[in-house]
Amino acid sequence: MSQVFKALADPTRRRVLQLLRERPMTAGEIADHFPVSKATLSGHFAVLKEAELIAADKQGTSITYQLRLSVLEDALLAFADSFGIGFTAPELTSRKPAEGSTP
Amino acid sequence: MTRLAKFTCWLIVAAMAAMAAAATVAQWPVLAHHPASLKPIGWRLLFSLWFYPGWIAAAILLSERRLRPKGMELSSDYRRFTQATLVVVALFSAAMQAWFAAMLLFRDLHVLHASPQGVSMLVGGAIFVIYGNSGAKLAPPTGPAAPEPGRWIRTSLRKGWAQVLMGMVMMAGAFASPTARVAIILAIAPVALASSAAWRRMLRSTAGPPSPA
Repeated sequence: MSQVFKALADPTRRRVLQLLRERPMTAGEIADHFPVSKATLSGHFAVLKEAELIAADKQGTSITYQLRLSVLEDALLAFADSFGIGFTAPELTSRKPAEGSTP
Repeated sequence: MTRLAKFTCWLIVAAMAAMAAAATVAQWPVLAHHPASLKPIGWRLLFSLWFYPGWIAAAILLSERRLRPKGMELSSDYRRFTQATLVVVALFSAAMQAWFAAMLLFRDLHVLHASPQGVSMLVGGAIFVIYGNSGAKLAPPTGPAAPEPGRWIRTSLRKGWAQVLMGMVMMAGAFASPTARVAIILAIAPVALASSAAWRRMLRSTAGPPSPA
C-alpha cells in the first residue's frame, strides 16, 4: 500500500493515470502530453508499475500501458487530486530540460 | 471454469441439497400430520433450505456460460477471480442454509433466531465490497468481439464503485430494523440491475477494427 501512496503522491503520475483512463496508450503517446524527457517519464512508469496501478504490454519496440485501478486506489487518486497532494514537479512548469542536464 | 472450481461448487450444491433433504425428512411427521403447526416461519425456512442449492446451481451454470463468451478471450485473472468469488458465495450460502436448517429443527433454541438476515446482509455486503473493489482492477478481454479496452476499464470502475457503495449500505443495514433492511434491499436492487445492464451493454459493444494510421 505504501507503494500506492508513493505513486499517487506525484502529480505527473496522477496525470498519467487520468490519461490512461481514456484508453491504453503507448509510452510515446503519453510523453506527448508532458514537457519532460522520456527518461523522466520512464521513471514514473516504473513507479506506477511497481505499485500495480498500470500494466505494460510490450509489442515489438513499443510498450502499451493500461490502467489497473481498484476502487480504493481510484478513491485515493481523487482524494490526492482534490487536495493537490505532492509538489508540482519543476519540469511541469519549465521548458523541457536539455538531455543530460539535471533539473 | 477449471475442473477444481466446478467440482468444488457442485460438491457444495450436493451437500446443500442433502442438508435440505435431511431437514425435510426430519420435519416429515409435522409436515404430514400437523402442517399448520409449522407456522409461516417454518414454511419460509423450508423454502429457504431448498432455494439456496437451486440458486447456487443456477449461478454455477450462468458463470460457466459467461466464462465462455463468443469471440473474446477473458483474461486469466478475471477467470480466477470469478471462480474464487463463486466458491466463496457458495460456501457462505451453505453456512446460511445450515443456520436455517438448525432454526427449523431446533425451534426452541432462541439463540439461533438472532437475526440471520442481519448476518446475511453483513457478510453479503462485505463480499460485495471486496468483489467491487478488486473486480475493477482485472485485465480486459481480447479477441474480435472484445469491447474497447478503455471502455472496459471505465465501466469496470463504475461498476466497482456501485458494488462497493451497495455493499457498504448493506453492511450498515445489517444493524437496522427488519423493516429498514427490506427498504434498503429494495432501494439498492435497481442500482444493482442498472449496473448489471450497463455491464452487459459494454460487453456487447466491440472495439471494431483499428483505425488507419
